[in-house]
Amino acid sequence: MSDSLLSIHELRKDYGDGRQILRGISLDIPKGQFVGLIGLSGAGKSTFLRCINRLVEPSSGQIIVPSAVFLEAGQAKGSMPAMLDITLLKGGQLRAWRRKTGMIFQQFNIVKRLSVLDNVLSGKLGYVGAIRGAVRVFNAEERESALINLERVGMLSHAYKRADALSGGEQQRVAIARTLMQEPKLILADEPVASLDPKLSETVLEILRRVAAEDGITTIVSLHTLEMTRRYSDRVIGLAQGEVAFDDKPANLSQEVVDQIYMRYKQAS
Amino acid sequence: MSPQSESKWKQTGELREHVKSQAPTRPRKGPVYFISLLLAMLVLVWAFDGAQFRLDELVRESPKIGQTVARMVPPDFERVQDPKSYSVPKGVSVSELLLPMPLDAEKAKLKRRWWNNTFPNTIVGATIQTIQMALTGTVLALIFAFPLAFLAASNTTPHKAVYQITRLFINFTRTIPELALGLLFVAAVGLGPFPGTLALALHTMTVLTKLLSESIENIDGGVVEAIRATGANYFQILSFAVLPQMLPDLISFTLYRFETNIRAASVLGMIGAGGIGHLLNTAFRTFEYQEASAIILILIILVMGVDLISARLRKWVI
Repeated sequence: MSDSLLSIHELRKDYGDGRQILRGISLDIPKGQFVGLIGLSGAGKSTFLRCINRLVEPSSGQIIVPSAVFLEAGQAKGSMPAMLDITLLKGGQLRAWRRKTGMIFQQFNIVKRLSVLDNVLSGKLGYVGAIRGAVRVFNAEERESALINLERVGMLSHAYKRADALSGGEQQRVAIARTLMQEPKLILADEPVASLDPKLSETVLEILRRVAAEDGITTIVSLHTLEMTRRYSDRVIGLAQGEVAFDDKPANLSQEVVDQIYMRYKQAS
Repeated sequence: MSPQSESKWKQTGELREHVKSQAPTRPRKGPVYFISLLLAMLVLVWAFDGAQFRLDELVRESPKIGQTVARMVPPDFERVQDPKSYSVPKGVSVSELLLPMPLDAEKAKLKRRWWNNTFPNTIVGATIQTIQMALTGTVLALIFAFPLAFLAASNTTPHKAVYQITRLFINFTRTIPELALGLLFVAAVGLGPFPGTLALALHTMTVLTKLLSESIENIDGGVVEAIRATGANYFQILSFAVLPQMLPDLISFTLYRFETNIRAASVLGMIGAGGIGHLLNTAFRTFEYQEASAIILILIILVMGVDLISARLRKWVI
């Protein structure tokens, strides 16, 4: 548990117009931890998560990951260095990192016109050949593992439905199954329950927590309610204006800190 | 606002006074407006004059237009029905001609010649050729437009320069009317349906590329991001995130262009580029107005039929 999966050093992101979204974030995240990420809209949560899998290019800083993360089970280590900097990866190496990093979105982002099973199988794209993936041909083993992952999120009976026939909560569960197909070492979840009602939110978060624990997946989840953050996270990171404002166990999340993160100032009476 | 409060401000008239004193002054139309109006009217007068539109002449000539139309009824389907007009060659039976079956060399030669040269000059043959031209032109166009559309869409293009060049090429080519393209290809490869099909294919390709690239630009980018996040490469992203989202548009636009091409193919015949337009032109020039109306009637039924079938097909696929 003590060895880290992600070591982030002075991660910065600014846009050409001078807006600074991330102002030097340094964090160490151990393997298997379930991290809750909180902060106001615009505090940089989404940008931070997307910098980790490079859907957004960081301006500077390092993201150091043990190279063993890239290896499949039983694969020899070869001549790889012990640590790799994610911000320097290119092409095939970058896709290999994305393959090992699952992402879950607020708007689910599943392909509405494809079947549930095809959506889950799309999580395997990083592993299959370019042409086989492009013509949507998957073998029996891949289909079986897709069905297994659907069962793990409780959606097996919906496998052959079209994705747009599902409710929001169901679509997000399909998205989790898709992510599991990647056999990820890390899951980044960007407000996964912000579009769901409180009851569905709990279901989805419980599933996410359970599968992460089962597969030993390190998880970073940005959340918008303190109650859920306290309940599900091992550790809470609070971002305010692109900087880490809080980083500790949820139990230590005092009202004072919360006010600071959400920039609520006591009005002079 | 509750009725009570409404009556209150009505009584006091306070709000009315407030609006009267605070409302911005209504903008007045300046001299620029009236001068532009005058100029626009002058341009219209100039255009009517240039087009030699004469109202008195229209009134005077309208009986003649009526007479010409009257000469077109009833439509004469004589040549469609008469077996002689199909000039079946001696030594080959009708069934041998129409059905695919093994024939000896001599008969096969006669058969091929009839299909290639004789049949397309009959009304039924020319109608079928029109459909064949439209279908071939549309499919050829789709084959080229499909990859081009990805290059011409800002969110899937591999490079900005590729995007600009493709757009420029498509926008430039699209300005050339089909008839002009037809004349060009007739000059290049000679008379017949081949130049007409090429003209249809080229023009349709530019239109489809434009429509499809716009459809690609309108897809949900979140899905693209999600598929990219799985470690998928460029073509896998296109297949999983882009193609399913653009598919309804792709089918819809292609069917629509097929309908349009049936119409276009029937006009192309007038410049000798194949299809039924050639027969229509000949019928008018030889004053066979009743036969011309028969051809027009066939065209109307054809276009309506294709409209109907493609509407059904669209509903079924989407």
